[in-house]
Amino acid sequence: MDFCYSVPLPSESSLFVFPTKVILKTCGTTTLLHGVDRLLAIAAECGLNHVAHVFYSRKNFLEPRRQVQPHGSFKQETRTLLERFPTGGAHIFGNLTGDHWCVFVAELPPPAVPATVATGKALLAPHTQPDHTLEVRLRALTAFPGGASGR
Amino acid sequence: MMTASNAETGGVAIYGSATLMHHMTATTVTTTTSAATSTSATTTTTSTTTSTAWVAGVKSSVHPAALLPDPGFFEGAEKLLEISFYGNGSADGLRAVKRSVWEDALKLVRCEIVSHLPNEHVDAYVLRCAGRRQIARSIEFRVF
Repeated sequence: MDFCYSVPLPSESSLFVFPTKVILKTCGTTTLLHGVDRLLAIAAECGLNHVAHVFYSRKNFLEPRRQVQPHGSFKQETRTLLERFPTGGAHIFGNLTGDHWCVFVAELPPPAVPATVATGKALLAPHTQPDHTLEVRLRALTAFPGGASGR
Repeated sequence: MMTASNAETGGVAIYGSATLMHHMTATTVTTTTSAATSTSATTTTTSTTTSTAWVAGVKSSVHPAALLPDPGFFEGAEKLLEISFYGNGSADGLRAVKRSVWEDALKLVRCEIVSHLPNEHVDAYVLRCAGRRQIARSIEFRVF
């Protein structure tokens, strides 16, 4: 399968839904991790009962005090994720007194293949292509006419 | 009093309020005063004031501590969550989930859907974050 997507990337938050994968990106004081349990429940209703891979990341916040728990600290975020994905691990890349990235990753083994698959159903698995992410950060954007100014 | 700001310093404020004066070093005060009266002293002033960390980048004549409750502040850093699954179900998988279900789930995250852009591989939803107007621009992004 050719994994070539062309999607409009909004300046801010977005949700990308693939058959076996969800990407949710939110900014501001959103409570991204409050949605994890609901996300898992929605997936389970689609027959996607086994998590294959979890990736949570963010840059250090400019003002962490404005965040709602557990987003106030990466330690709290990690705790929240470990409760659900206990085999995961937390990593911080970069300068702890400057710009750095907080990353939580969990890889889980595939479930045993069932002997039979019901009619109309299919075995679903995440694609195995290597995943690359390019993030471009912009600062000090000029204000759009009639819109919020960038920061 | 002294000049309110110096355009050539790119946002380095010169603090003119007497109540804030005690935050400044004696050197800064002296060179600032000379900047107000002599353009040739501008360069010197810049290097002196930027050496004081909390002065650099502040664009108003207010002490940085007073800027913290800034109601216009917006945390631009994005939180990213990716989860992929194994399962046994319809080949559409998560793409069979209705928009209304995502809308409901996103309330927990303090986001709402503003538009839906499906193609053959993916459903892309543009969201609006809590407390922020939508920046109504997007760029085409191609993933190979």
